[in-house]
Amino acid sequence: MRRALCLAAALGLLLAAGRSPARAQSLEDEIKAAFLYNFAKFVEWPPDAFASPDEPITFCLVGRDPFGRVLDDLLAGEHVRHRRLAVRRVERAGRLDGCHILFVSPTEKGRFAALLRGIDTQRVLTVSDSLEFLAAGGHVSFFVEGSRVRFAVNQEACERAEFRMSSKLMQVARRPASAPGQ
Amino acid sequence: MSRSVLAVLVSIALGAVAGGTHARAQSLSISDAPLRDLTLEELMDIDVAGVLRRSEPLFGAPAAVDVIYADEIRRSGAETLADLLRLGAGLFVARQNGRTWAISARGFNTSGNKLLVLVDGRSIYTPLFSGVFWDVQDLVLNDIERIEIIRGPGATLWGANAVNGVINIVTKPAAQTIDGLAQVAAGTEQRATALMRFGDALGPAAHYRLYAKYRTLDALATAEGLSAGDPLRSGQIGGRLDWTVSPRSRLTVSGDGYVGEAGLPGQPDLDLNGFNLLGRWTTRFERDSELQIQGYYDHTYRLIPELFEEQRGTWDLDVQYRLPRHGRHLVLVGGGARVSRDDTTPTSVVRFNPRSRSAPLYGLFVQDEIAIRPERLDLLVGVRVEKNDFSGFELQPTARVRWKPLEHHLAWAAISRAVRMPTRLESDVQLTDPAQNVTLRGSPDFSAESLVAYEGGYRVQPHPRLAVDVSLFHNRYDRLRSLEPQADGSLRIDNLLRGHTNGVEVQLNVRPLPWMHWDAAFTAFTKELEPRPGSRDPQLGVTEGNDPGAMFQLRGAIDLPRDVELHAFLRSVGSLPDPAVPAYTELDLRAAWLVTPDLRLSLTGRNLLHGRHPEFGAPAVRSEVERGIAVQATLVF
Repeated sequence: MRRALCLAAALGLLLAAGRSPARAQSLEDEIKAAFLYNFAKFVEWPPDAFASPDEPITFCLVGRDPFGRVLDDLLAGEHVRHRRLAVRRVERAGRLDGCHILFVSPTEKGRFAALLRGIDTQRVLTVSDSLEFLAAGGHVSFFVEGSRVRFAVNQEACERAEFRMSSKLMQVARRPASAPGQ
Repeated sequence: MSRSVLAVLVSIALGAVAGGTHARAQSLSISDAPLRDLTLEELMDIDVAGVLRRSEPLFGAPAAVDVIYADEIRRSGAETLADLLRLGAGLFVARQNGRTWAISARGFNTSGNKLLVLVDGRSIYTPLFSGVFWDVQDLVLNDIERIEIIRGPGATLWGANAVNGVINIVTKPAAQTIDGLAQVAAGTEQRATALMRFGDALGPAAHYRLYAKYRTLDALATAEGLSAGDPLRSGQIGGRLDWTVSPRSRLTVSGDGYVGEAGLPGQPDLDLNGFNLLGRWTTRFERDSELQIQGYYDHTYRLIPELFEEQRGTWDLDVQYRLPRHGRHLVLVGGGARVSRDDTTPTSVVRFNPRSRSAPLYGLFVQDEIAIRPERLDLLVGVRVEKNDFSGFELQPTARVRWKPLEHHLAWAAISRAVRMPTRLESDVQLTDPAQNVTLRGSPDFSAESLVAYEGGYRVQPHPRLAVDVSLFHNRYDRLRSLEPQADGSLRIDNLLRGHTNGVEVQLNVRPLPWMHWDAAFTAFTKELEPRPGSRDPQLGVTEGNDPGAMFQLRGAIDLPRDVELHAFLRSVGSLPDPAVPAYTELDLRAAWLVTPDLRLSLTGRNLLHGRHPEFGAPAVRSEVERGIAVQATLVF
């Protein structure tokens, strides 16, 4: 017993020099999902983004889904500007027709440029988890600052796609300390 | 007194197979403001790194709860479900031999019949003896999202047999496993594991995964250090499909099938197989009301040559509905029907009369969560009415109070009644020990064992990185199983024992630095059993529980630079009185290295402090657990 305790204690002390935070992944993803919902509330799409007045605002996910059911549960039964909210998981090379918000998983890192090619005409608000995404022409990216979830906006790209971002949203958008492309 | 008959009884009870659902666990939890309703500024303000996940919904549960999350499962390096459950605060886990584990909460480890265990809503205890055949319970451990351990009765929500606790194993939705996983492990004790899992999207709204797994566990040791000749081998395949049919509706279909064999020294192997198929439909309506319909079929087969043969098929249908919040009331109602049919082959040792029996079970429950002072004081009342084939109607009510005197403080108290239904083992069995000419007979009028539990606890999170949880319980049991000597020298199973247990359980979770976790748990326990008038049972429940007075565990997890993870798990279990098993302290250490983002290698040392140690059972029937080293490689593709 004593031997074991010494060993455990030694382990604790010995290693008091590490780093590499293991984040509480689920909560972080839940917060990101809640932000995505808020983007639907605070971004105005150009009129031609919707085929009909009752077309739902559709959230599309590409790549490994970090949200599981969190996003579906969060959006179920909710309405924004009288539109229902829908979630769709799309395949890598899948069509983005009918998508209004596209969350690109960090697993697609190597494919950002390919994914974003020609996206300006599609009226899709693209969101990811990597600042490289903004540099590649994406619209919004989450990042973690300290231990809080933040997001940065590529204003130029948003203007090109004719999104109107509410001032409320722009006030809380942050510029990351080491953001490439911003 | 014929210990060997008892040994047979116990070995059937322990050595033989074994879902509440996720929604029900949440129904125990506090209704926190959903993140959806927070403002942008509030979202920006949530601290994600410092928060112990313990504080997430289960912090609000008015019950004694511990949760083992996916990252703890990975860090532990556990290769069997039983080893994984060793991490659970307040759980007693002991391996008696190559294929037999005794797992319990709040006592009664020998009978192992007071704990309900569910995998994704499928009950895995067998109505044969209302315990779990742990030797055939296997899963892709990487695909487990979390294991909820609720100590104390959960019978109102989960039904009969959730007497001393509920273990709820929840696997990840298929959308979270859309990649390939290949894992191989080799070791001195957990000889070999090979597993392959593959998942993908089926169009925009559906995902699936499929897996195949093979494992071989080495034989344990005799007290002299020789091989005990009891290895365990099994192969299993399975999969899961999740389909978001509409934004409000989800369908889950899952299934598994396995074959296995367990060695017995000098005898032919045990032959084990089974399969199950489950479907669950969930629809949400206005104001968070939700309907869930679930059905499954589970088939098991077990052959112990010359001793026991059983095949069993169980159909289960379960419906629950959460009503929209109405003023102060949040109401959950549900009901279910289960029919389990077995077919046994009589042997010279064990026979059941009738040989085959179909046992229906019906239940209805209602639970109301009443906000007396919103966000401060809640009352939870519920009752389940159940009718089983053996003892008829059983009533299982509960009343729970939850009080939040201050932010990050929670006090709770509960009084509940729970029963354990009679099983084939008490009702219909006849066991004969030819060597000693002793017979043990069940009694068809065996009634349900009952418990009235008084519990309370306090949970506090004084700092985001520190949580302390203390629970106390006083359990009063009546009509416990006794073995009554008869005039002709035989033994008859009856309900002539009663008694009480007391205990305290303490959990401490500390995260001093973002890359360091410490979790400690301590349990102290006492048990007093006494005969009811008319009992002549000289054993006073020796066959029911052989519980330690104290258990302690300490776990440390540390993340080092260069993607290296370390895990240390120290546990100490007090001595067991009868049959005597010495106290032991053991240590597991694991180091894992993420070589590339897709490849993880690990080295695990298990039971490092001693060459071998016994954990459970009389010297004649137990094997000893040996020190072991294992390496594992996991590739994601």
